Amino acid sequence: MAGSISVSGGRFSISADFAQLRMLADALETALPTIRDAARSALRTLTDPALAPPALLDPLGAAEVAAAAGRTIATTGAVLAECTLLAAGLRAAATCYENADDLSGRWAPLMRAIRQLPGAVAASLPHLLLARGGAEPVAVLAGARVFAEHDPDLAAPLLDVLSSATPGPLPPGSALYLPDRSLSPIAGHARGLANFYSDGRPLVSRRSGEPSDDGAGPPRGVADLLRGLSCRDDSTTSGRIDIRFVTHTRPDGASTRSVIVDLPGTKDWNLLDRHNRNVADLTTNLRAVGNEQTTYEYGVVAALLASGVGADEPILLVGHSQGGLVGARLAADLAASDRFRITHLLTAGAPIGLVDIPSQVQVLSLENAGDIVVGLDAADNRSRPNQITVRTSRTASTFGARHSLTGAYLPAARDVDAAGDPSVDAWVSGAGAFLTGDGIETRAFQIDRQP
Amino acid sequence: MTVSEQTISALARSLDQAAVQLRHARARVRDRALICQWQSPAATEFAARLQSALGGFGVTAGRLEKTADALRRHEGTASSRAIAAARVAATADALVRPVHLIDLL
Repeated sequence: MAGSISVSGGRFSISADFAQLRMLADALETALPTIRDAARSALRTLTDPALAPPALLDPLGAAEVAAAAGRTIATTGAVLAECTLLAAGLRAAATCYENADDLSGRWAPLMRAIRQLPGAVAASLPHLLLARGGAEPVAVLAGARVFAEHDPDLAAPLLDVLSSATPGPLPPGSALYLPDRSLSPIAGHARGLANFYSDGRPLVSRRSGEPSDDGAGPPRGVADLLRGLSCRDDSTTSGRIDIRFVTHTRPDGASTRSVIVDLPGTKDWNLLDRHNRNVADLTTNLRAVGNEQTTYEYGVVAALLASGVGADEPILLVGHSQGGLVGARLAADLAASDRFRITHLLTAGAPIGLVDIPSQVQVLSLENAGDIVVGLDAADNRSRPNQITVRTSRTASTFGARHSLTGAYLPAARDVDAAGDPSVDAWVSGAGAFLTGDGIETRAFQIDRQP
Repeated sequence: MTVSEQTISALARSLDQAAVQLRHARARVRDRALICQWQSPAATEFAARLQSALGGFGVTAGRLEKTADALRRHEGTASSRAIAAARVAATADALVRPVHLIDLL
């Protein structure tokens, strides 16, 4: 059964409207000096001393010129005032709509959380009763798990409130209210916790004989891209990534390449290992949520260099969960580099709300209903013309199932392909370099962390 | 009495140039406005105001051109009158000069 989707951001979204309103305001403001110049020209005509002798010879003509110039100055003044007011009004309207939209987006999960609260309390009550006031930790944990599964939307606001209430060196406030995501207390706390763990240096090696999705041919849509990622994500080995070259043969026989990088999610949740060799671990999660570069990222860059990816070859990063977060960080960190050209990012179940992704990268993020991972940053994704977030509805009873790449996000991606949303279709069309190839070749790499 | 034709022509040219630039600016703003999707209801009000502002661009450009035309006509009339006055002065001078000759003779 197909699930429903809701889309925010993108080229046809109301956020694009905001950007267009601002651009129109810019265009009006750019016209202001031209209008002022017109007024100056008319004023010069009125005041030029060279016109005094001809005025004596042709007083009627001089009066006509004076009247025409006077009328021009009056009209110019009116247009100048109208354009100035209009530009200011358009700018103010864009900001007001944006703030209202942002606020409703931030409060919506909280409202959902409050609605789900009675059901969550009822479901977890038996476990909590059996916990005997905390004397049975297993029952407490089971109760907490059942509670969170029945009210997943509570996680983000709870994290937000808890982190905001904690005193620390970061500015007070909450990601719920702070417009500047870099000030988010969540990011600060994640950075603080990451200090307990060593991120080391990357050790990258090529792996041959790995299973790949090449047999299915080059991808044609969002679901095909996630299927390719799932092929690598199925591997339980931590730190394995794919670099896939999509080839296009031109009519003259020459061929061009575009590059897809598959970044799987977290594979190792070991809290106690402070020097973990696996990069797909908690250390990477904490550093990435804290908006810091990671060894996983360095490893991906090293693999791109080792694969001989050219500076002019477009790159699409595809990531699930932690992989999406690392992809978002790569897109942000490589924006200023002219060595690689990241043009697109596709994430599934990744908390990328705190990452400031550059405007030249076209982002499509899938967030499944009840997936607690996407709310771990306590910040909604930005809604921009270049950043689309699709909320999917592949519901399941457990956390794992709602976050699963193959169980939830792959079917959700098929819903996205079938939905025909104009913003998503524009993204797919813009990603033509990756989705219209005539051949594909996968190279697998292993990234390990060296102490 | 002379008419500074160079100055008047320069003034008229600058008015024409300002009108052309204003029309270009109007086209740029109009093109940008056409890209807007105008999804929100309040934007309709802005669209109406923008229409009025764009009309103002056109009216101003038209008046600049009319001012330039009036200036050129004025220049032409004043110049021809200056020439006519000079001719009258020359004729008068020519008429007066023989009288002087007769007096001398």
